[in-house]
Amino acid sequence: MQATTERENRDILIQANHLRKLFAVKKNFYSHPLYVKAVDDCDFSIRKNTVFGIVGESGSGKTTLGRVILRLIEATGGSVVFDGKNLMSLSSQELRLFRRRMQIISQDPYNSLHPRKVVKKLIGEGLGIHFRLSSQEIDERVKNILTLVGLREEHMYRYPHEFSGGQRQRIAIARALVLKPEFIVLDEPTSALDVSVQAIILKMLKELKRDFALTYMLITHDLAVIDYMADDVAVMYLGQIVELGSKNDIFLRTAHPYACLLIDSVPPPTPSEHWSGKILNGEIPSPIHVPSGCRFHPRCPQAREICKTKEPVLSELQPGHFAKCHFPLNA
Amino acid sequence: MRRRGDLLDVSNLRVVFDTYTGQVKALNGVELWMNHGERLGVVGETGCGKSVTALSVMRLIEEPGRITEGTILFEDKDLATLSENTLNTVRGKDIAMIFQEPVAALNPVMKVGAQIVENIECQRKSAALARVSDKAEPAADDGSPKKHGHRDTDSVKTMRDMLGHVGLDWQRTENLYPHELSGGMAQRVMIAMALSSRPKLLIADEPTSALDVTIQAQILNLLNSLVRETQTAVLLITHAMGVAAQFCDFIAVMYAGNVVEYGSLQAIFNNPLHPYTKGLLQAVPKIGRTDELQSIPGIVPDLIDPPGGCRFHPRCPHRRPECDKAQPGFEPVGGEAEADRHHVACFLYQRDQ
Repeated sequence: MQATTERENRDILIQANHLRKLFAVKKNFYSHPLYVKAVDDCDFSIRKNTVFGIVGESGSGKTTLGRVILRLIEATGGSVVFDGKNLMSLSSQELRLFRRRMQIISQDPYNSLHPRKVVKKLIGEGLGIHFRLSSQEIDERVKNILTLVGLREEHMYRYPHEFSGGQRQRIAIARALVLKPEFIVLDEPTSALDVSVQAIILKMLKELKRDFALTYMLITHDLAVIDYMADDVAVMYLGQIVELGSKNDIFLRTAHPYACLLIDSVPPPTPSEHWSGKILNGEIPSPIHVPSGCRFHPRCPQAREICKTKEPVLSELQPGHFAKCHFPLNA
Repeated sequence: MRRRGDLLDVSNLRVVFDTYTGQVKALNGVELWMNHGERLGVVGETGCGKSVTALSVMRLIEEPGRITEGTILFEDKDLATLSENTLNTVRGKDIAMIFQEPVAALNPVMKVGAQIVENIECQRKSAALARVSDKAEPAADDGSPKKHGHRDTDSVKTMRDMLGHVGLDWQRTENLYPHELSGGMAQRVMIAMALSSRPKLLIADEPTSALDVTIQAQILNLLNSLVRETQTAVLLITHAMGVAAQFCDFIAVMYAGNVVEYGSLQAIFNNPLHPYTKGLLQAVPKIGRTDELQSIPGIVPDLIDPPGGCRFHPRCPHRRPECDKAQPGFEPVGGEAEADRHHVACFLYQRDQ
């Protein structure tokens, strides 16, 4: 389970231990609350200057995990160690010092930018808070960052509605980058964009990562984007990490039946390649009443008796390659 | 002009939307055609006119939009000029449609079983009307929902059969309201409703874009087996190249209101000719792909004031002097196999230039 104990600890930027987030829901005012297990006992570590990809269906807890890591949502249990400090134990004042170093770029560039602030204000606001710069210095930095993300100086005094989706995502990237962060959570950064624009944004994110020694946590449902961007990948199902490993572990030596079916569901974008068309039956169950034993067993083609009763542990198959399954494939 | 497809032949279709900021020239002479039982994928990026094309075929373009020019031949009728009454005998009967947001497309205050039954009864009624007279006034009872007990048992039986065909248990599903369905189930209900009238053409507008990949695979698989059984032609609108590549026989690539390239699946994917098609294919990330993604420089033009000539010329890497002066004709490509039907609208490939 501790993917990292053997590895060199100084390579690790973020270490999540037994991270849990439960949301209480009440059927009515008098009833006892039930709990949505959005993130349930997740352990992983993110190495410096790499892209850690998280993939799963909607409702698997990807976005919640990204937010819990940044303490944008308070976790129910577990810890997140960022560069040696446990973020969960910091007071809000101490946390503020870390805020600059960890940024998030969210999925929907139409809702994540304040509609009544001009670009200069949107990007420069954080600079004023974290660096206490004069307005000339802020101007200067905003100008620089805009050219860096492929926008122009004259865009500084425009409002978000004057931009296309791709340009808005560039503004969101500029806003995150201007604070010189070390770690950025990319929550579905290109899902709202067309493929040609997606290609530009993904390429740009890759270049920025190289130029500024950034570390990304990339949350997406698009496996092809994961393959293009990520170094390490975690596959999530119903709030848990079911497979964790390097990109090649996940795509070439897939061990968990869910990960395998997820990859097979993607129609290859060339007619010459035959689509296996293997179908994952059913739908993701309710995160309130999770299935007993292995959470995937009701949909799993390989499920046996033990899967219904005993929950498998995330065990190491090869160094760095983990799967949460009693009967891993390719083992 | 020679008839090109025996089911649907859209030629020179132009649609505009009159807005306060100006006239949006959404479709600029769209050309596409298909035969009975074929599957045509229309691919392109947001705002290229894919959905407007689909809506035009159903004549569902609403104010401020209108069709200004062009013909939409469906079998022997020109849908562009047909009267509303006659059109209603085609809509939902011969041509059915499913949408991107299945939950939004269903009536939220009506049980799904009742919605499907309503549709079936409506089709029967309009078919009966059409037999009597082309211009008959609609009867006083124009298919509004009746009380459940009074329903035509035939229609109820068809509804239950259809729910079974799309993989839903009718006993569990027919009395649910749309908000009680997941996205995948709602899309199955939409498919059941659309196919209940045994249409000749099914228009699917981004049917899986709002769904997860695993559910997308289920829905595509289901659609595939259903339309193969009934030999229904499908016009599939999508922005996902993978979906088009695995589902369709023919592909039409749209850019800024034009079909810029049309041809068989193999022709488009293995031998793309139009610079936009090439760019689009190179921008698609793919599992196991090792080369860098290529992007198309520039942005999609504003259709209120589109570029003159070929609408792609400002972004085109192979631009020639004539490209901004005239719109290139949509012409067959010489030397290609006839079965490929490969057509392209680009000056680079025009024989007599």
